[in-house]
Amino acid sequence: MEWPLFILFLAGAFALVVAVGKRRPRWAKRSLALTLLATIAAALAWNADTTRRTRAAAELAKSVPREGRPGGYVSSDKCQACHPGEYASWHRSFHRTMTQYASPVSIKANFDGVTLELRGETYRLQRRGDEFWVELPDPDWGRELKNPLTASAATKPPRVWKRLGLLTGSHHMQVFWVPSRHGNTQYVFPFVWLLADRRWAPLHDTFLRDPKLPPTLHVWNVNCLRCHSTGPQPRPEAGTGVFDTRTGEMGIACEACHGPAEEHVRLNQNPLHRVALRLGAKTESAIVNPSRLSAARSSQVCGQCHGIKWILNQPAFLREGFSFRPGLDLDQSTPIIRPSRLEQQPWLHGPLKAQPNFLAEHYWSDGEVRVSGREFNGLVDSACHEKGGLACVTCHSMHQSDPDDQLARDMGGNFACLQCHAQYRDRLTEHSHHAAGSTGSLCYNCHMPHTVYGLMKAIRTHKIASPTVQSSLQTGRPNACNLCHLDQTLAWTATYLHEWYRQPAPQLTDQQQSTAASVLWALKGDAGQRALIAWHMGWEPAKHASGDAWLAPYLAQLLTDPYSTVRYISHRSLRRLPGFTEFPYEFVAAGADREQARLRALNLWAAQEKTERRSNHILIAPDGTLLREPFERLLSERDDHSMDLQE
Amino acid sequence: MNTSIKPTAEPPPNSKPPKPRPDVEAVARKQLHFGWWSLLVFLTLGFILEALHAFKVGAYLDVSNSTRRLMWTLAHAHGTLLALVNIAFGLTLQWLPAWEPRLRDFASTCLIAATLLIPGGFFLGGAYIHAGDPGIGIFLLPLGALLLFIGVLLTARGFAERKLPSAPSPTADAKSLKGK
Repeated sequence: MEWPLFILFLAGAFALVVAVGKRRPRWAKRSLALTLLATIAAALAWNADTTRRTRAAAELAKSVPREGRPGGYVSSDKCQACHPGEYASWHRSFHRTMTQYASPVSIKANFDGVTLELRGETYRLQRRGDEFWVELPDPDWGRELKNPLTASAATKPPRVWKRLGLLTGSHHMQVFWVPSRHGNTQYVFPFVWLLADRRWAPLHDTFLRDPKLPPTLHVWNVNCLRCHSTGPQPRPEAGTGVFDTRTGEMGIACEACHGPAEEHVRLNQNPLHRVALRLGAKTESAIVNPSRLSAARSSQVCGQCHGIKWILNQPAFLREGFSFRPGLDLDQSTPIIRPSRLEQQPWLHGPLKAQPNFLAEHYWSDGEVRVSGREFNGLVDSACHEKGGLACVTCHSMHQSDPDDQLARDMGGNFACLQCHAQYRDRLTEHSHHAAGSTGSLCYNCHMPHTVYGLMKAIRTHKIASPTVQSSLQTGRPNACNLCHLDQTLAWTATYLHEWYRQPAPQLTDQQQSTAASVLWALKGDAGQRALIAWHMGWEPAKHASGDAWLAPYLAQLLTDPYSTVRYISHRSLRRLPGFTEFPYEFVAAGADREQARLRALNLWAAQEKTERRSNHILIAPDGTLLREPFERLLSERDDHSMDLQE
Repeated sequence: MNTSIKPTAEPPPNSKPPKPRPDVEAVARKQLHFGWWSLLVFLTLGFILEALHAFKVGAYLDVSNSTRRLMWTLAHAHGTLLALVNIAFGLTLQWLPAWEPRLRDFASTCLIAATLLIPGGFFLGGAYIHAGDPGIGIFLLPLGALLLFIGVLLTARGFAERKLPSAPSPTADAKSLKGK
């Protein structure tokens, strides 16, 4: 009907003007005729362009998971009309952009004729108008090879051009997904775009993962959709495994936290219902507001994604998606895996036998979570939550906060803790033994140190606890004191914790009494510990407390670490040291180049002023040079056990 | 049609308008008729749009339909304004009895056509939307805008070219009194 109506309007106006007949001025005749022709020509061109774009969008839609699913999900499309403020604050958040369709608006990466290389394969990137294309070895080839009906005689995958359909992430990095020929399966593109660095990097090298392990072919429809989309339904086809995935909406949207909104929308379309709600004659029961739930239920809303969970009914999940809805008990459908309470989780014993590395890939040995994005695991193991009713929304707000960490107003400082622990308001220095206003008197720094790894950095743990040397000895997890006082030993920490808080003094080895804990973790520690220490060597409060003139040799050493993310973090911290701001280094370069970089960094450090270097516990001789022998000896004891942290 | 009336025959600006001539009256009546009915139509459209808000109709309020919402709001606003322009034109004509009829009739037609094309274009452009873009109806707008421009230009020129009688000088007044 669009064209007939257009012609009708045009003809009507034309007839009107013509009706004036010969009385029109000549100039008017000409300009009207020209405008009429131009109007029709422009409409035809516009229509052709719209048709082309509609066809391209329809073609892409066939290859990507589709939005829209049964079960009462209506998407955020419906929410703005009544909740414009909430919609706007959500729209600014990184939750919204957890998964997006590829477009010039969503993609921040450089696709302008870029060529990338990885393990002998070349990947070419192109932008064609509003579309983003990659040339790569056919990702379907391996799967098709296993099927006698589709297997080809080729011995290596043919190269194909693919139009990108999806991307995940928007805060730190963007990961891209390549559509399969079969269903709407999405294979990961093996390079990511690092937003802060504005560069491409191999995906494999952005995880803390043993370089000897083979790269994983991630499939969005299996794992990522669980927490990067709202109301996901994987829907693999029985037998073939081809996906016909649906979601309520891409990204984490309104209904992820408030529940499916179809009934809520239907009820509130009636203006009388809304008036009754305003007058208090009715209460809204068709939608969930997490801030009005109990601390446990409210936090479970966040925990459905920010926790390591177990899906009790896997076949039902694959078919219909999660049965958990905000307001329900998460433990009934997808309980959180808590290694500290394995005896209460008998359903986990079998799977843990099948995947013996599962716990080590996610937790410290005492069950505290060590990978990012799983804050709920830390919270539920905290006394503040168990006994004090602390909920995620006590400190965080989804709608009145900075998108960066979504901390509610005033929650970036001690007020967050003083809400409940008011007795320390006027006794902060007495309690912390650090000057008021210093980073040492900030509750977070002692009780929520950065002992979680993820996204190529250290992140605050959400297990709220007091620092102890004993926990460091038992689990290897650095304690808050030594993460700030990098130049001090465990013995030093134990002495003060005993003196100030009456903590029992632990048994320590000679090494632990004589050498700074950070030095031990940086040289002898496992890859996870090395990554955390490398990050803290660039952390301003730690550099302020420990001095930064002695850190370069340790960071230089870590530039040659076997784990790529340790190298990346070390370089970032090194550049924060005086004299190293422009230090050139490529964390995915060949081993010889990395060794060259180490030597360059050491030479640069050797040429610097030596008077500010402290010699106590940090393997620095009185003359300001590095004590090579103990340094090399500790390095030779490095914990090289294979690690693969599943962030 | 009489096209030989001299502009000097027009009344001074502050005097009461003379009784309009039949041809001017016919155009004024047509314009007023069209203007008032258009106003009714576009005010009714506004009422309908408010009802769409009241009942939270997704086809109008959903984020994916924001282009439609913008287009229809513009159709309502432009239609109402243009209806008032037509009424103003109808009322204006009595001040321009000597306006060349050829230009007057053309200006009248231009304004009527613009009142159909501009809000019509917005409405049609919003009725069929393609992602964030309006439908082809939006191309009625340039034509409507041109006609509106011509209509307003002709009317403005009609006023500019209207010659007013020069004010009598004191000498002339004295002479005329003397004569009496």
